[in-house]
Amino acid sequence: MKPKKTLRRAVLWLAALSSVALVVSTAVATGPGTASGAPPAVTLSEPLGQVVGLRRLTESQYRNSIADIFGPDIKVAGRFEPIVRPMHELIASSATESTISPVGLAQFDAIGRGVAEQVFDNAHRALNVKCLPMDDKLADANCAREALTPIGRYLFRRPLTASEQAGYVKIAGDAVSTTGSFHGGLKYAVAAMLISPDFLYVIESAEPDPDHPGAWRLDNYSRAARLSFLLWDTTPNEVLLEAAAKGELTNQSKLTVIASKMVKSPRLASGTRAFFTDMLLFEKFDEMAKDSVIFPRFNSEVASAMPEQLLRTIVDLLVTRQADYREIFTTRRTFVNRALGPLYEVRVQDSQGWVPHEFGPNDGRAGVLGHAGFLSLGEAQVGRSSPTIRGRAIREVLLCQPVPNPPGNVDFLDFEKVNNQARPTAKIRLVEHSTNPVCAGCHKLTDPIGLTLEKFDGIGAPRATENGAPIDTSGDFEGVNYSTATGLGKALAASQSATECVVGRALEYATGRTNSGNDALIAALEKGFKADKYRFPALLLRIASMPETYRVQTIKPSADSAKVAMVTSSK
Amino acid sequence: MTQETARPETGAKTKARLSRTAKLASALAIVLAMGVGHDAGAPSAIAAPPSLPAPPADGEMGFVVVQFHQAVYIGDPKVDCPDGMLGVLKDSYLTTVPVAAERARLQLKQNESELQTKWQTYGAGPNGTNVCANINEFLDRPPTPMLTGRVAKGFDLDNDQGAGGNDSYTCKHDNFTSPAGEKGIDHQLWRVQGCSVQYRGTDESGNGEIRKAYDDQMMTGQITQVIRLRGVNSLVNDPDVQVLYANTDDRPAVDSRGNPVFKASYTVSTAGMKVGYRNLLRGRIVNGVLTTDQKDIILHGGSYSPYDLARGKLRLTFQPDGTAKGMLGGYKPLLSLLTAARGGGRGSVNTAGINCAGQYTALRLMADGDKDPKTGQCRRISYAYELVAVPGFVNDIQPNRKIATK
Repeated sequence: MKPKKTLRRAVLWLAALSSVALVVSTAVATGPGTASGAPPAVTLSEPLGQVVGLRRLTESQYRNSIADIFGPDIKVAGRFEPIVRPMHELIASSATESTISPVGLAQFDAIGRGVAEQVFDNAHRALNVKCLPMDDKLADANCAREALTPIGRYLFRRPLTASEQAGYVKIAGDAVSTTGSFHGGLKYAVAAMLISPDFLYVIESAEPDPDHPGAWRLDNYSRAARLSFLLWDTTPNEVLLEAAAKGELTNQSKLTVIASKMVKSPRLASGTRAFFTDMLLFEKFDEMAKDSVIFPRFNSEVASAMPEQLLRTIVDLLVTRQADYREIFTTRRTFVNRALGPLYEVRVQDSQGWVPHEFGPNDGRAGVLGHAGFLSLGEAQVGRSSPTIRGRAIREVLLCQPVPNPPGNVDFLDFEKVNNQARPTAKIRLVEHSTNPVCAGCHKLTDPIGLTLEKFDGIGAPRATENGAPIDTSGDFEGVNYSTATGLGKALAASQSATECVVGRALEYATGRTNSGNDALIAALEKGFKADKYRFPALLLRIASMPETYRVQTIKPSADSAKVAMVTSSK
Repeated sequence: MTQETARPETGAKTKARLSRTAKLASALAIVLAMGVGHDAGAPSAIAAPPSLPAPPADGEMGFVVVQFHQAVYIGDPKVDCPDGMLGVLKDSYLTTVPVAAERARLQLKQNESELQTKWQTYGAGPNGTNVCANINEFLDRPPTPMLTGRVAKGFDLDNDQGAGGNDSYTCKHDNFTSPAGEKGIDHQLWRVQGCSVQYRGTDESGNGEIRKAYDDQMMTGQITQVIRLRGVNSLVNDPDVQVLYANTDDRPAVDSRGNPVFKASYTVSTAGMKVGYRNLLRGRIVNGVLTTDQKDIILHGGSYSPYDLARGKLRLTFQPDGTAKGMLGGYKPLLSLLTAARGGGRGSVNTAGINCAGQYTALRLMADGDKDPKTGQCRRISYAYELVAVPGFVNDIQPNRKIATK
């Protein structure tokens, strides 16, 4: 059985892009090379497997990869073309269908050249080039090979093929005449690697699964990448690449041992942050806008602090304290900094950075629902709070229950009269939506839970009244009545939808595929999650180590199935 | 006060009317004395303060100062400055030209260059000496025009409503009366600076350019001050409150409109020029007004000289919205008031036209504190600042304790 037909088109596009990358980078005059006498560097000893997936690197994965490969002091400067998220999916799964526009490629090229420049500057050269060229002003193929091969291995997350190695060595040599130096040539070669699809995309390749004849499974290097990006949000390190080279990652017990070590590492915090950044739609913070007249306290410092507060709270809860995932709805422990102090009206001791804080039992804040960041999201909340937006966010983001879009002709006018003294609170103004049969179907899903958060304004600051009228925060969720936001948090924590949602999202995040057809697997994972007392690291370990994560969906092969190809320049 | 109609009245009725009028005037004075607006006069024992917030549960309140400038009272300019405004050095030089016709000639446009040479020479001293930097060599220069008005804001620092000079610390001086009618107000520096358009404003509003410069210094973080109260059991009456008055390196948090944000956090400065500017005072709250006992107070004053106030006093009037308005007073060293001019080099004279010698003469004449036992010359002058503070959290540090940071 062969992988999906659609991948064939992707692979052909990939090959074309690779050739473009190399042609662009090799538009230089040739020059003589001089042998340095160094032994040839190791290349891939076997052909690459069948390509079964292309997952574009996210910005954080790109940055983390550069930091881990070349050092945290290498600056990555430039604009990243965003990966567009389809409705109700993670960016992780839309990354498998994400292309790069010409403008986007130009941006990646600029970023890559900036990185390459630093990698071989005086401060970093000795770290990245262990050999000395015979003459710094001339090409030296052996030294270039020795320098570029390990770099390529880390960037491409697998050893270079022999032809790739030769291609990049040639780029480095050809570029000497343009740059005037051996190291200048190396910069061109690394810049070319950085815009290669083999770097910008995690190319997942597969091999026949010996345990399931006719089926395919991800090969070792693809497993190394999947493990590393799932758990640490970064490129595979030497340990993983070595394990892949030895074939250990297709050995179930060895895979589990490695995954366990990774889950116990402090680097799990990075992976957790990346996962929840995706699951909680944090890219919306980049486009958050608030009316400065209505919310003068909202500024850029507050805006950038909001998502960070959420992430710190989540990582502290799930990774540092290894607490029950469901406490994400009930915990009062959080972190604040000076920018957020006035919004929460709390003292912040330190001038810089974050300090732990616990919401008071009567603050009405608990869990993510009590955080200003969660309360502030939503384009409708520019000048006011929106119970419907908040309720929808809870349903879709935290419970994975999609809510249909409103009809195109809906009239928001009455609701937006926020200073209407005759209908002073949002609950009163929304009555129309909950009683109109056209609207009620969806608003019944969103408003009862969103209205419970109305004691927080559009930027999450507390308020006791609206237009002088008391705010009624009572409601019910799945048959559980509550009167405050903390009560709502407890009701959500008790809902199986919440735990099923995070399980499904974690699986989607790991595989880069939506979960259609995976109901039984998700149910089993949720059961295991419960057995593990809802510890999030344990969930990630289950997913990282189970064979299903590395199985490949297959279809009947066609006559002209494509393989991975690296087209080298004819020059 | 009302005027009665023309019908003649009986003696008893007259007495009753005058009594009612007197009581009304007294009550009006008391209301004014409650510190409405900037006029933080003496507290009243009779009228209740406006509705104030409840005291904090832990007895601690913090504030960050967002406005801080000299306490200015603008009276009738004909009464305040009968000898004219302070002017610049050119104006001071012209007062030394005895013949009116010559003064008029020098001020003609075609003689501008000659006048400039003459006043700059006057400001430079013999042999081109920098007068501002060598001020003690020019003690014979006439004083700059001084304020002669009777009303000013400030404190009674010497507990003397008479002419002063009755103890070893003070020198004789004319007291002011506060706008609310409190007598014995010591604000001698207002006599020296009160005829300056920089303080009075070109429109006599009191909003001179110096006021904005002072306030801006607070908002930029350059010399931001914080106040922390502890042991507050009531914002209306409390006999014992501990007051910390210090500097912070943190600038006041502002919103998108540039207004101070309430409940931001600040930390008392731990290092650099501001370390040590941490004043612990004691005070009491009476009818919504906190007043501290007199004690030397020193705070960071920016690039030039600190706010060094001997026998300093702080008064805060709590507002219903949680803010506080108040006053800080004390005796400042004379030369500290000329530090900026003295450090300005020849520019202070030639460009800014500052009459350092004239101002120093005026300061020495008006000085009323820290009497030199040998010469009898007072070396400090009474001063008052107004301030506005908004609620914030103030994090203190213990003096001499290392703050570990990584």
